[in-house]
Amino acid sequence: MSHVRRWLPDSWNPLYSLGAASFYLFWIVAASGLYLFVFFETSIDGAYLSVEHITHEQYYIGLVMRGLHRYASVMMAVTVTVHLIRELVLGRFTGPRWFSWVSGVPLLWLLFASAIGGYWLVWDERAQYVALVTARLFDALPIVVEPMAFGFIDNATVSDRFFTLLIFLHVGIPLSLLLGMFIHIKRINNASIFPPRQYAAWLLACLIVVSLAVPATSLGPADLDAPLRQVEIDWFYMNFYPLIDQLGPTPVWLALLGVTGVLMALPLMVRPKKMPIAAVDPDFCNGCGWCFADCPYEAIYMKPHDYKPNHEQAVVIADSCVGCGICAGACPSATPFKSFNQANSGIDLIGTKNVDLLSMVREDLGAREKKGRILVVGCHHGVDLTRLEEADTTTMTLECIGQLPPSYMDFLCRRESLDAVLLTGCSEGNCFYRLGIDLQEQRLLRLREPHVKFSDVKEKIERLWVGKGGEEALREAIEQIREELRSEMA
Amino acid sequence: MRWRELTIRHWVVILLGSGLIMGAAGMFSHSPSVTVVPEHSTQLKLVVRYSGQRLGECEPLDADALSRLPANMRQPIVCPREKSPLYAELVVDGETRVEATIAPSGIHHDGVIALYRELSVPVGTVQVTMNIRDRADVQEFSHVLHRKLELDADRVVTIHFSDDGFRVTGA
Repeated sequence: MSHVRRWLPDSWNPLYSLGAASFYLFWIVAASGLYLFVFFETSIDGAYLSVEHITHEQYYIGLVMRGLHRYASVMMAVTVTVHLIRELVLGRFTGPRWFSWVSGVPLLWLLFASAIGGYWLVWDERAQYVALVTARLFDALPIVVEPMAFGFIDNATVSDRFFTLLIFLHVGIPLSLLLGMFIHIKRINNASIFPPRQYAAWLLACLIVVSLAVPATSLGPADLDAPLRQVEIDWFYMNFYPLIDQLGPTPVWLALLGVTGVLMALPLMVRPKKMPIAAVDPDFCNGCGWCFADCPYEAIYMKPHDYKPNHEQAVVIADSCVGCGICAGACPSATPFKSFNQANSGIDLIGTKNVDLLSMVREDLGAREKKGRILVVGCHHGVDLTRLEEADTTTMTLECIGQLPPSYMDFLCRRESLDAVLLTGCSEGNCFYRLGIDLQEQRLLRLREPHVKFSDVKEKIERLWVGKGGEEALREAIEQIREELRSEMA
Repeated sequence: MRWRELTIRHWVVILLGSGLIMGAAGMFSHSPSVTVVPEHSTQLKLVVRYSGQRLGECEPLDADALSRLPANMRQPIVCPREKSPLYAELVVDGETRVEATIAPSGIHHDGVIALYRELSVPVGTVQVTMNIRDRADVQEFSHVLHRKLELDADRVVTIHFSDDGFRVTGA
């Protein structure tokens, strides 16, 4: 078990479900916002008083709903920002992943605009600050004819209609954000948009607790005829507002647009390492569509077969393929039991064919002792397996654990008298290619085709998803398997 | 993982982590506060909204020039479209606090001239001078406001300048 997993289960690790948590938090914000909208009044005096009524006179329901609305928004700023940083650090912005990256960057603007608009609606002193500083920011744009600040010169210049416009924006911008979020995951198959249930329930409970412990309340009512002294601001969303005051709007605009531009241009600036992509062999593609169903990046589609009547054939979209090999693991034609096709797969990675890896393993197994043989299969993103090789232990490293056809395990255990298989790779919930671990688990549990055929083989397969830092845990697991094999043989 | 599979060690990390993150969310969502206008000061707003002066003089057209124009465009006097930039300066107790040259809005610089500024000034009596020059080709100020203002800590003072001249509110 890796050090992190020892302290925190993968399904509870917030780093492994940042995108899903962001979606989940959005729905909490939307649901609580809908509640607040029912009681909100769109007028100068009504805006402040209605929010005060919701907060203080609804037997804690309004207070909690307002708290959920604020703190779920705050947490969304956190999850989205950490999500961006994590994807950046892991290099998940180049190659076929460029679309998700580029479509994700503008969402930051929409998220901030949604949140700041919400603070404005309350029309308290914080809203007054937001109005004056936002006006200053937008008035710096050369396209502005009449300063936006003219709308906030004094109390007489603000009209009820302004709040109608604000509420329209505060609904419209989050809807655009939602649309953008769906575009963001458009090229991802089986995108995770809901975090693990226990984690989700715990997150909601935490938000309710913080809503009660630190209630989201208004400051004094906005008064444009009086100077603002001290204003408590939300540093998650308004962190750049004091800079507008200190440095002026132009440097802030340059910084915001500069950072956005650099983030958007990153996929062009950093060229991805050329990975072998998948290719279809029409001779062996039977048109089952399992590769199409399993591809995590929607890089495969089906078309009528080139020459087999009434058959379909998979087609790889080269620009979208990341070269994970999960499609090769899903191909039923890869089964080594059929001697006529020599385990040739209908779809495989160019240059590193599964069948060649199988031959190497068979050759290696042939040179080892006949009893107590263990095969450890892992991926390039987990532990370096070569360090685990011993007289009784051979290893096989794939691009992703999902690349392993289950029929290989059936074959090696039945025909090569392999005694145990240990599958490893990335840590659970953190698969480099998103779905490799989940898909392989489902194949082993016979929940997904192709699956392990023989029950005795299924019994011989152990899994340990530990990621890069799990070498020690793997050694322990191998030793335990050895012990069991020894006791069985005795 | 199910609830009952969580160990005490897991719960310790979950509780500590959640407390830390939620505590930070609760704290930084409304503190620390920022100072907008310092104590013993008030806010002075400067609002300029002015139609502006045209850069050149209007000229009459003779009958021959008028006849060459389409019927719907035959106006006896033709004025240049572009307006002059406006120079504005605000001096508070001898110190120049605002100095700006504002171009008229629009691609052809024929729109309204607008300026908005906020500044903090100490409360009490201050001498304010505001000079406006609405023609770039003239050295003298076209409009001058020279006034002693009583500034209250609880009131924002606004100096407006428009086609109707100066107006001061809040003092």
